[in-house]
Amino acid sequence: MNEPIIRTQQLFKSFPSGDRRLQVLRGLSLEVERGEMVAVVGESGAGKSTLLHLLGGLDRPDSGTILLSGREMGTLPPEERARFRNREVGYVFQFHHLLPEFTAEENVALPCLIRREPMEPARRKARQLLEELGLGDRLLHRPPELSGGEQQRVALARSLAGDPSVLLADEPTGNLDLHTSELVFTLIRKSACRRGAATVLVTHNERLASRCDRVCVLEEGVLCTLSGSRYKFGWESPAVKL
Amino acid sequence: MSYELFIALRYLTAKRKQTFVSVISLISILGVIVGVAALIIALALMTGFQQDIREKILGANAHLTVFGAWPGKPIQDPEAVVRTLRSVPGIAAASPVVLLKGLMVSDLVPGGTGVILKGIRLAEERRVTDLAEKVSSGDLTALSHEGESSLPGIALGKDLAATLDVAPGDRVRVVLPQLQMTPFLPVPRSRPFQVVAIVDSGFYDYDSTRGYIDLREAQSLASLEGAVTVVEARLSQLSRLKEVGEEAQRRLGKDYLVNDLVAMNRTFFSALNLEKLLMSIAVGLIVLVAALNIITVLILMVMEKMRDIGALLAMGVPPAGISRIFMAQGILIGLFGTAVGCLLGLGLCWWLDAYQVVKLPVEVYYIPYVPFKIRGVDVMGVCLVSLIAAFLATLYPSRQAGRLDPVEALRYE
Ligand SMILES: Nc1ncnc2c1ncn2[C@@H]1O[C@H](COP(=O)(O)OP(=O)(O)O)[C@@H](O)[C@H]1O
Ligand SMILES: [Mg+2]
Repeated sequence: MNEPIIRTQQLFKSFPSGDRRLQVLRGLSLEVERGEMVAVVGESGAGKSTLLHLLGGLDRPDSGTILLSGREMGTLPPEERARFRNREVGYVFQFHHLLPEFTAEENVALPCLIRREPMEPARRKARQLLEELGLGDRLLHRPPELSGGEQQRVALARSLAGDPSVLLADEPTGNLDLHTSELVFTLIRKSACRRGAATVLVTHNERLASRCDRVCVLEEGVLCTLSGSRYKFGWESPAVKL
Repeated sequence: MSYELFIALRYLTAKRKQTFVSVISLISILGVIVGVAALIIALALMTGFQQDIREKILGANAHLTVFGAWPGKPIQDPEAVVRTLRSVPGIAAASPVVLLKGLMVSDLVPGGTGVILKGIRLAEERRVTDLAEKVSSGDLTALSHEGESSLPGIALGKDLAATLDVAPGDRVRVVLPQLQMTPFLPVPRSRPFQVVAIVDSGFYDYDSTRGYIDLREAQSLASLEGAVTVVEARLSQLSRLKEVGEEAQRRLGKDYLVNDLVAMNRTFFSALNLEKLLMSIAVGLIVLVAALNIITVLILMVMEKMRDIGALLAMGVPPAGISRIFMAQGILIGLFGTAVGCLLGLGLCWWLDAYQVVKLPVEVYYIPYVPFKIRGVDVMGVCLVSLIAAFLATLYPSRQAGRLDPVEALRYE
């Protein structure tokens, strides 16, 4: 169980910014084991989203390696990378990114349809997942007809539909009230745990972060694991250098 | 159903908040419909005209015409030529004819009008042209025997009869541009006739200039004495026109000149074909505009769906899959528009033809209404062109969609 599913080494990533380059990640390394949930915290603009994009193969690092379930993402051709992402990675975004013209059930069925499963089994699986997340009576609603918490739960169901080994959640509770955040977080935690997925959760919510297995701060392009009590005050104040 | 088609269909059919895009996609579908329907109608119209004119030309003319070796030289022994022609395989009938140019005057129109007189042997003419079937009033058989008034009979084209303001029973006078010596002074040759029939060939050129008289009458009028100006022949099968014409020429030798119907009307037939081509190109521009519309719709659609594209890429749709989603949309627009346009075009053609909706001024056109004739190849060609145009229109937008950067698509507001 302690073979890491996500294993990155010495990730560098920069973006062009005017005539210079903005160095976002500077030699970042991260390992996440099966069933483990890691919270990534950090200031806005620290590069948390960038990190998740790299982990899921949506973007390529300037240098460094990313191994997901032992496969090196960067070297796969685009078609392969897409197939791999479809099977191994589930994304939840801050803005649910559900397709507005499709019902909740259809949205959740999409990952299975993309891997060419027939419509009926894909819908059946979607219904199961939505019921598991307490949305059994919202199957035929379209995203605009759902509340923020419901939208995120549908998005979570969609990210789980492909049975991913890696779950990447980018501020999934960023737009939700306290109570709903709690609910969504609990659902993520439970369902990821049950499936044994390695989860990276980017969040600003201190309480939720503290409930993860590990908390890492992304600062100056690298990740530092906070241990024990330190994180409770450490990452909240930018003045504190680690 | 593949996810590409599933998503494309939903994008096209879902009600959306940005009504702008759905209005434009509606317009693009309409564009294809109008283009396809217009092309089908235009081609049916050209085909209708061509068929109609062709039929009339084929019916009103002999298939082969034999002249003397040089222009104006009479054929002295028409019976021999007729016999030779009848011996040629493929020739069904042959008949001697005298063609004369002259002036025709009537009591009401003393100024008269130029005419071409065709002297025929009625029994044989029936087998060579469809003149006998085109009589609209009167009785053509009265040509061959003298009328009650002991004047020779004449049949007139209906527009000629209208110009001269005569009807069956009236008298006309034919004046030839040849002088006749009288005891006092030379006068133009002329002869009175009694109108016995009106001919409506549907072919204005003929109906406005032609008069038909008995062959012997024409011979005596032109002092031809047993000679004729041409011998006309009809084939049993028009498809072998060229070979049969060549064979006839070989058997008749170089004292005669055999000309066939298509050669005599060559410029006319090729003008018809050119007209059809030009018309197709002109109307085809509508299809081009429809294709441009499809490009516009797809580009707008890609922009509207940017966030969806990001989400789909994150779910593991490969870039080519994104392209296929938008390609499918363009093709669906093309398919639907073409199918509806096709049905609309066919329906309109049928209606326009069956109810003779578009009337024409008879003095200008050969036919009183616009005929529409649908040809399978035309319809298939139009559909093919439209589908290919729609497909080509999808290439650029779908390729652009496939090239989108997932991260930028996800960030897109
Ligand atoms: N595609 C891009 N082009 C240029 N700069 C970018 C791009 N993506 C991210 N950045 C910059 O990289 C930095 C990190 O962004 P991001 O990973 O979104 O931060 P956050 O930790 O808030 O999620 C920010 O300063 C952002 O402006
Ligand atoms: Mg972010």
